[in-house]
Amino acid sequence: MVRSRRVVRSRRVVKPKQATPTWKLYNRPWYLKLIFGIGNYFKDVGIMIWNVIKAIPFKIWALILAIGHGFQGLWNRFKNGDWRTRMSYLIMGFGNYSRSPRQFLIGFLYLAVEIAYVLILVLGGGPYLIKFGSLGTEIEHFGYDEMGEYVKIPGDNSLKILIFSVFTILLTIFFVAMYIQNTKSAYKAQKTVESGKPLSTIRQQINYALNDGYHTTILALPIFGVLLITVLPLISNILIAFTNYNFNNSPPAKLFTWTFEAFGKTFAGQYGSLLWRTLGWTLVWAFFATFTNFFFGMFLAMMINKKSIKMKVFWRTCFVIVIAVPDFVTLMLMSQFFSFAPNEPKFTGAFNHIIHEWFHIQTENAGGVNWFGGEVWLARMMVIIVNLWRGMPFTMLATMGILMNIPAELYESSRIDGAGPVRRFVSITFPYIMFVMGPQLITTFTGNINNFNVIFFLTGGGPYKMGGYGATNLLITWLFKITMQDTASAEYNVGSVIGIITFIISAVLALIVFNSSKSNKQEDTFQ
Amino acid sequence: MIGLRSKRIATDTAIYIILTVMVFIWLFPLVWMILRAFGNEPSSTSAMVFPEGYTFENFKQLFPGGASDYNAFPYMTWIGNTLLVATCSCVISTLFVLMVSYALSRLRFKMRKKLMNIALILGLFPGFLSMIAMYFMFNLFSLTPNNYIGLILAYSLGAGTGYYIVKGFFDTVPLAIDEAARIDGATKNRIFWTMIIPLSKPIIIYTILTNFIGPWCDYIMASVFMTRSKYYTVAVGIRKFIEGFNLPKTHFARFCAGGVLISVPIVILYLIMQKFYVSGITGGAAKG
Amino acid sequence: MKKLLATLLASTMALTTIGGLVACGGDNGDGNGKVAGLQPNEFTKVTHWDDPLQDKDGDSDAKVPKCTLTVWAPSIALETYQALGNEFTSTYRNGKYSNVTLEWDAQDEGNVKTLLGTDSTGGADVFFYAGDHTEEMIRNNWLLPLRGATGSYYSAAIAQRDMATAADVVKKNGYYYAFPATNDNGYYLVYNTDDLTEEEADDMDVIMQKAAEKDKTFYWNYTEGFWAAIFFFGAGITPDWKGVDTDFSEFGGAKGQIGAKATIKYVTDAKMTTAAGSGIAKAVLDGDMIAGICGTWENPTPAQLETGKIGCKKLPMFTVDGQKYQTGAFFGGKYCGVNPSSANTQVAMALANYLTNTAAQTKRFNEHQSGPSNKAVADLDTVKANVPLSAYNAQVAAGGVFQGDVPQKFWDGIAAYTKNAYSGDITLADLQLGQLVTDMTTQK
Repeated sequence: MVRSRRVVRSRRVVKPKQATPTWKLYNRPWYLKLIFGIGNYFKDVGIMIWNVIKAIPFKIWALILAIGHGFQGLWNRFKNGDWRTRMSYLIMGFGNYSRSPRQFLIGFLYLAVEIAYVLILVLGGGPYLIKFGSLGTEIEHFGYDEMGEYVKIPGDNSLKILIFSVFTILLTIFFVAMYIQNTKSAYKAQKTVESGKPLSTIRQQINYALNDGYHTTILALPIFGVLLITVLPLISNILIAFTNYNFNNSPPAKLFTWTFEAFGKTFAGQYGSLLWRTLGWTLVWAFFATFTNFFFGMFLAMMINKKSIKMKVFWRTCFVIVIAVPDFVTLMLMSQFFSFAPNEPKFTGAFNHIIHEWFHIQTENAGGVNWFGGEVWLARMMVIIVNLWRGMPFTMLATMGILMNIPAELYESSRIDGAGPVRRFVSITFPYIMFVMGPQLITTFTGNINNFNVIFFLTGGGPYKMGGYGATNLLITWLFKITMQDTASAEYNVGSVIGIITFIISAVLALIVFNSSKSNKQEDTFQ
Repeated sequence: MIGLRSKRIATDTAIYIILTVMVFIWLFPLVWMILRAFGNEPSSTSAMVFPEGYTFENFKQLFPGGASDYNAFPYMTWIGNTLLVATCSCVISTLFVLMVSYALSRLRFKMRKKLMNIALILGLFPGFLSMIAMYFMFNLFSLTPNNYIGLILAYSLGAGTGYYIVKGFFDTVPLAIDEAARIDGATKNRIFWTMIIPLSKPIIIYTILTNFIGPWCDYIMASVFMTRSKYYTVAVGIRKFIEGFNLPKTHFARFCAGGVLISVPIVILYLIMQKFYVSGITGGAAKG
Repeated sequence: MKKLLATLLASTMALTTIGGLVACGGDNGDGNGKVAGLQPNEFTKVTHWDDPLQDKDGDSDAKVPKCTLTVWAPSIALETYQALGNEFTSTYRNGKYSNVTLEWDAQDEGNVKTLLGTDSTGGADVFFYAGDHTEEMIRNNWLLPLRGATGSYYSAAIAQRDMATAADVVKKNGYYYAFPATNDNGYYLVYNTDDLTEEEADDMDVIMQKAAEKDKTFYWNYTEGFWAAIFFFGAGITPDWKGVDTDFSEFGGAKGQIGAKATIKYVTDAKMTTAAGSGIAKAVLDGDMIAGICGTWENPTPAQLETGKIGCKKLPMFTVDGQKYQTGAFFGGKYCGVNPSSANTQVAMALANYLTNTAAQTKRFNEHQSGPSNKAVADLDTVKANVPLSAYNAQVAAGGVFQGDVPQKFWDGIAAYTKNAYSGDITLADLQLGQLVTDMTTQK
């Protein structure tokens, strides 16, 4: 037993922050350790999910407090400020540029922000924001113009009203932040002058932007981008879930308005059973897609990485080529490769030809096997297999990188202890790979929940069963179908609810990974 | 000793056999695509695995004047569009990712941890859910439909949320470098552009690679933003070859040829950049 | 407002490195293209129906202002329409439209409503679309009604020159919403004359029996909703298409049972297939197939017909419980619509008219053997003598089901039904017709 203890101790070196083991595993066979290890991993995930949920009310409370604090500061500065500072509450930047030419730049920047905001509000955002409550009243219609021509007379567009209102609200939040900053800046300038110190020069201000305030400078554009591209659509999407936006009242021809009907529709009735079945398969799919890729890719990498195997670059390259071809090409190709024609051996897909002509396997049907459109279990297995074909080289590449980083002395010492290859794998290689790839596994898992391309290009969600159930549909492909494909009966609000569900699942998982990942906790280790 | 050696030879042989079989399986569909691309059989469902005769015709049809319906399927225009869009959005995305990563890794400020968490979650929001909202947002600025700038911005503006891997790398660059430079009077801006970036070549190449391949391979976003064939990217265009009831019977070989043609540069790119890719996937974490 | 916001955005963007790119979208010309001098409701005076504006008193040949129109045309006939478009901008009416620039795109008719659904204002000015989408397109204001000063002339023209069966599809409140372009969206039977006599080819059971004898297949793409319901139609179900409100209850009744039994019988036949290699006619000629259900867009070519080995006729009779029924088939057409969001609706109407008038339909028939909706073209001897078109028309007469506002859930539901009948999930003992009606009727 001494020997195995030594191995375990060397494992500690690799994984310094290992949790106290719940089970005494030293005497157990290797496969039990493996199972317990995986079980523990998921137990930890569960605990972390709970922690995240538990923290939500406190976070909200903290946010309310912070906002209250901000307004208090605003009032205090107004109370204690001189007339120039108070003027800045009306004309932004006044407290800066009215005091000294040195403060022109910063002062006029504030002024520019105010002018830009007011202009956008008056010319663009305001008119939309006014209609935010009703989401529009004028319906688009046709009528005669002054030439006697029959033309379209535009009305309100509920969707645009919703999106631009969100845009304006985001803009307003940004403006309020700038506004508070403006009062602070004016108050600070006032205090500086009162204390008899010189105000900062433009050069000093630029220097500040490039040094102590560099995080603002460097993050401004990326954050602006994320707000526009991700936050705004996200909020708009959530809001659509609270409307009756569907095929019957879709803008610009019709108007939609606020209701709660989408939630009832999604969770009960016609969509209800489809939702739970699709959600179930989505999770099953994500699990298998993630772990088949992980384990097979790991074993492949270990085979290629074995010391005595020659032509490592060749083997690796062969697999890398598969992932280098864009996935829409390979996936559309695979759907044709496995195509099927019942009873017709001549016009069936290439793979059915191969099993007939090369391997002389007799199939029940003269046309071969219906890979993607027949039995549900077969279609599901096939998408997982094709996904393995497509995704395994990624894991292989990553694992090969990790394997090269495992300190050789770990293996040396275990060899001296007489540990066999299986034990070496269980005690050294696998924990090491899990240490690096563990967090990524959940990222991959969430990626697979949203793996649109594989399902869309291979099966299109089919085979479709009676009741409208697409057996390989993921939430995201199902959403695509009921909103973008079946336009004549589209249910955008239901699609929005499904989108929210997908997002919540992904987000919770991601938060856990991030908070648990070692590289995050130890980010200062190397600096 | 002999027993051990023969055992090793047996294991190695087994591994070689497994690897050979796997390589065969993995490459077969691609070989099939290449042969069909050179084949004289245009239909996707035909009476054979491999074509009976070979020709360059399918490739010729991808070039102007090569096919009578080139106007309907202007492949070279699509390639040009894709190159333009992918290159521009790659530049913006890479810059954004580097900037965010630097700020989150090297700078200490109040909202840092919160920003990190929020960005990570937002990065998970499936892009195509935001398509329609983004479409109308850009529509306000006349950036949709059929505008390259709109598509470029759609691909690149949100790139900041993908900081995770690059930040991991920056975390491993010793702080001592920054401190020495600070003593010499360099600003944080200088340190970022002239010291950290040159030190991070592998991870920058990885970022460029992934940010280039993303737009190059995207289908959904481009299919919504581009409604006219002269603005299509290659992913949208190439799907036109096998869309509907008819076209797979007459255009499948051209689809294969087109697929081969766009894959070749990406494959070469991948092979050159393999090692950067490995260090990218495993990130700074591998060093831990 | 747009410009101002754009300026603001641009100044923000100037910080990034995207300089040098030129905005390419939204390049509509600023000419409004209005044809002056017309009064509404005068269209009865017009005599030359292919070009109503030409014979109108006071209509000038003055050039229309500079403008650009985009056109979505099906890839199969893109060249034909481009040639017509060139005539339109050059010689037509002495160059009245020579300032008009046309931009062409291949966009299949079935795809158009999806693109318009995202943003109709970003769609083409003139587009060809599939007739069964008409209701959805009218409901969403994606079609410009042909009324008012200019439009009513075209409405009158359509009423005069096109067959009522085709034109009525796009007629609402006495006006037309689009120009009929073709009238041949359906299918018929193509068979090998060596294997089957014309009489044998009229009986589904005989065909399948001969197919088994000769070890050949019969082609019926039942995996697509467009073909899947032929036996239900044959049993006498002809739904009154009203989009999502269509009444499908007949599928659950006695007629539905006949259709379901026939579907199961033929779908599970050992010689039924759903793939046709490089084409049905070719497969029939090569001897792989005994017969197949052939779409009008994949008609046998004149060269293939000359071999004398290919026969075209209406779909065969099928037998259920000893009784014979005529197999049904969809029929419909393709239409050319004008986008109401177009900045140049008058020019767009003139163009749509030019692309669908008598000369245009003759040209499309000559080059693609497309079935005309135009009465004069349909009367041409060459059209009457066209074998595939005659077969199609015979099928329409014998068992045609008009393809009106067919809801998506019909396509999905019926295709799922035939596929599940093939896979054995639906059997004669359990026809699951109630589920079929539910799937086609309820909102999904």
